[in-house]
Parts: sequence; C-alpha cells; structure tokens
Amino acid sequence: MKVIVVGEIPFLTEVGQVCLAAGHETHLYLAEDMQSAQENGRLWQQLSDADVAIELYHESLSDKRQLLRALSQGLSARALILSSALNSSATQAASWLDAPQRVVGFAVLPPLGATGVVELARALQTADAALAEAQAFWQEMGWETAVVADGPGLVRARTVCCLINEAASAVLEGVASAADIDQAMRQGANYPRGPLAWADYLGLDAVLGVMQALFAEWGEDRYRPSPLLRRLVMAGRLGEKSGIGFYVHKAKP
Amino acid sequence: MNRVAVIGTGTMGRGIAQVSALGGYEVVVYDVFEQALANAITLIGASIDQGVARGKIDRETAVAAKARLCITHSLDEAAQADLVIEAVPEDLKLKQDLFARLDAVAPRHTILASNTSSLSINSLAGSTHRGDRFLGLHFFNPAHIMKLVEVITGDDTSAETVAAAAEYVARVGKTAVFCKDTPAFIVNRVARPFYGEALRMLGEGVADVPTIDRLLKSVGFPMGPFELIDLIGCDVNLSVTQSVYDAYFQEPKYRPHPIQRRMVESGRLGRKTGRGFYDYQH
Repeated sequence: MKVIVVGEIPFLTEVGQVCLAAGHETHLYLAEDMQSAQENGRLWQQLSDADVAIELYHESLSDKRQLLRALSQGLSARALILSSALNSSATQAASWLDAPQRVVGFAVLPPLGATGVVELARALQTADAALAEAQAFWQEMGWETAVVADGPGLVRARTVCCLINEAASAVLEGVASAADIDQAMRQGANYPRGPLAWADYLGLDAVLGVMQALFAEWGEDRYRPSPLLRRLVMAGRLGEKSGIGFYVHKAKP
Repeated sequence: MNRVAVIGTGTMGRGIAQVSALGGYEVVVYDVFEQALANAITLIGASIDQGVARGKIDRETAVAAKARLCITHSLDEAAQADLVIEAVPEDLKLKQDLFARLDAVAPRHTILASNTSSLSINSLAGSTHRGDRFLGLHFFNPAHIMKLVEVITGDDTSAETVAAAAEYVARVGKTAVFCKDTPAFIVNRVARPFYGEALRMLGEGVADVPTIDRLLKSVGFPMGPFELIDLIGCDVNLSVTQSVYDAYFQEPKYRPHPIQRRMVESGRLGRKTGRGFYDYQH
C-alpha cells in the first residue's frame, strides 16, 4: 500500500516507522515544511495514487484544517484519511472536508513499540466501510484496534495529558520540582514515565493542543491548560525536539 | 540520629517501624490501644520473616533488625527518640493533641514528623513550639515495599531538619522527594485525573471498563484505573477524592464522579467485597 504520513516529531517518525516496517510504500512529510511551496508540491505529486493518508498535526487547529483540506483535494475518492484525534474530534476534522465519510479518527501515544493498540473513533460522518478499512489497515500491521467514542484525545492522550497538565500546575505553584514530581509518580504510583518527561517527549505543543481541544469541547475547568504549559510553548520550549521543555535536553544540532 | 519512635501501629506505622529497624535505627513503637501494641512486634517480625523467605532480606539483617525493635506503653518515653514519626488515624484534632503532648516532653533536638497523607503540615506544626523541627514524611502503602517518601516542609521547617530527614529516608532505603505543604502533596494530587478521567469516560460511554483499563495498560501503566480503584477500594478512592476536592475548597477539577458514590452506596467496594468494577467471585 502507498501511505502518506504528515505530522510532527515524534508522532510522524514513530508512525512512519510502523508503516515502513509493515512494508508499505511510506512517504513522510514534516508538517512545518508544508509552508514551503516546494515541499507542498512534492506532497501533492504523491497524493493521487495513495491508499492511506495519515495526519498527525497537533498544534494549530487552523493549520490542521488547512493540511487535511489539502490532503483530501489531492487524494483519490477511494483513499482513506486517518486523522489524529488528539487536538480535535474526528467529527470536527471530517466537517472540514468535502468527503467526510472517508475520515476515521485515530490515536496513538508515543513512545510506540513495533506493535501495540491503536484507538479508532468514527466521526458522525464516517462510512462503515471506512472504519472497517481503518481497522484492517492497523491489524494487518500487527496492531490491535480498540474502537472508542469520538472526542479529543480519545482515551489515552486525554488521560495522560490531564496528568501532565496537573503536574504542570504543581510545578507552577512551586509544590515541587519537575524532577521530583516525575520521580514521585514513577515510584509512588508506578507510572511508566514521569508525566513531565513524557510531555517533553510528546512535545509540549502537542500536549497543549490536546488540553485546548478538551477545554473547547467540554468547557470544564478540569481541562483548562496550565498557564505554565502555555508559557513554555510560547517561549518555544517544546521539549526534546527543541532541546528544552520542563527539562534541559542535549542541544539539537 | 539513632533512635526513631513510631506512634501508631496500624499498617503504615508497622511498615515504617520495619524499614527503620532494617535501616539500622533503634526503634520504639507506641500505640494507645494495648492490644494493637502487644501484637505489633509479632506482626512486624512476621513481615520481616516474609522478606527473608522471599530473599529480599538476609537472615542476619533480619535478626539484628528484630533486636532493635521494642514497644513502650509510655508516650513520654517514645518522645525521647531523635525522630518521632506519627502514624495515627487521619484526624486533625487527634494529631494536634498528640503533637502538643510530644512537643511538651520531647528533648529540644527531637524532630517530629507526621505520616499524614491529607492534612496540612503547617496545621499540625502549629500545635507545637518547634515548627523548625517539624515536617511531613509521607510513606506509601505498603511502606516496606514502596520506595517513595514525600518529605513535606512546613513554612518554618529548617534546612537542617530537611537534611536530617533526607538522611533518614536514604538510610531506610527509600527515595525522597521534596514537596511544599499543599493539599494532597504530589502523588495523591497529580494522580487525580488517572481516576477522574476514567470515571468521566465511563460515564460518557467513551469505552467500557475493560477497554479503558486495557488502553492505559498498553502505554505502560501497570494497572488500569478501574483495576486500581478495585484494589484500593471504591470507598477509599471516593474518600481521597472527596478530601482533595474539599481541601481545595471545591475546586471543580477535583470533583468526585457520581459513579464513585453509586459504587460505594451499592456495596461494590472492589476486591474486598468480591465485586467492584469487576466481579471477583467467579
């Protein structure tokens, strides 16, 4: 199968790796490069005969919309569009397109293994056939699928980003250092990773995208993004990919 | 620092006494209930023996640790230790009265510590005249296994007291994290969404109980939220949620979920009653 993956680090590279390992003809595009006409042109040339397009863009909703619209215009009518339901519901993503029935929401939460469980969600507009194709696509790559109800973050990113947001609030309030909060959650609650180190890995912009989407969807205080998270993103401290987030990482060349 | 006193011989108190003795401290335990006190040494000994049987503790260490454990029927005698750790029920008045009495009879250098998980360290320190030698040492259950201790500083806790506490935590083989006196400290606060979001997603029909658990385990959590609530007990989980919510003056993000109350009121408390979110009877 020919698979187009557009998104940002680490989602792009990790999902891309899964598709490559499964033997698909995989084309990866960094979302931020889509501003360049040349890169855009390169993507456009690959779209018409692609079978699946995977969108993993979590920062700006307007850019996500623009990206999905560009993909759907270049793809054939039979192509499947998998939209990452982290910073928007699948229904919202589908609403932007002329052929919403081909959109299926999905979510993975890095770091990914070679196989794992992918969450799938149907938009209100999703055709039965498209959901079945999405399930088959992941299952053929050796992944388990869990179909859950649509909504930003689906199950895992919603939970983990809320944990991260609460940890960020605790840092902001001076309750403890980021390192001590992470240590506490690993050793006091057996979490696989400290929430703030996890945030640095996912990208603080992606985490903020999930929280903003949850807050917009539900309008509840529990989803209000921590001001610290917002400030770090404003300052360009996005985590590992920019060399600094809650922690200082090795400078990227 | 050589002598540690533990006040209260419930699960937490016994666990703290055990790790302190294994860490090389002379340990004296006190409980207002004579029967609990009488049983304490036997129960701690049995727990140490279990560690030996599992190969976690070598025989000589176990014998030496048991020899360092004793009980006292006098709170005044317990107060003579270098570090007094309180592990009595979570009742502000009870703890304040206890600390006021300990403060009155303890030597000047004695550090008073509370294992509270939900009360303010400043509120407890306020009942003494030694705010500089007062702090929280929050162990996790089971205390002889869980590696973490939250070291909670009050407004007046001195740097020397924090350093002495850090040394104690290291010597009993635990990891210390340092935390300001704020409701629920670190772990009980930051973990709230793990339960809260799971309950909301269940309530919204996002997915069923086994699916939510399976998904969260798939990213590395050792137990799913519902498995964990069943283990902790739905009643305990609700009361912790309620206490964090109240401690933050009904901050909406900590609000309990109606499902939690329904589980408790219907007697589905989890593993201990044979049924919670899962059925354990079959």
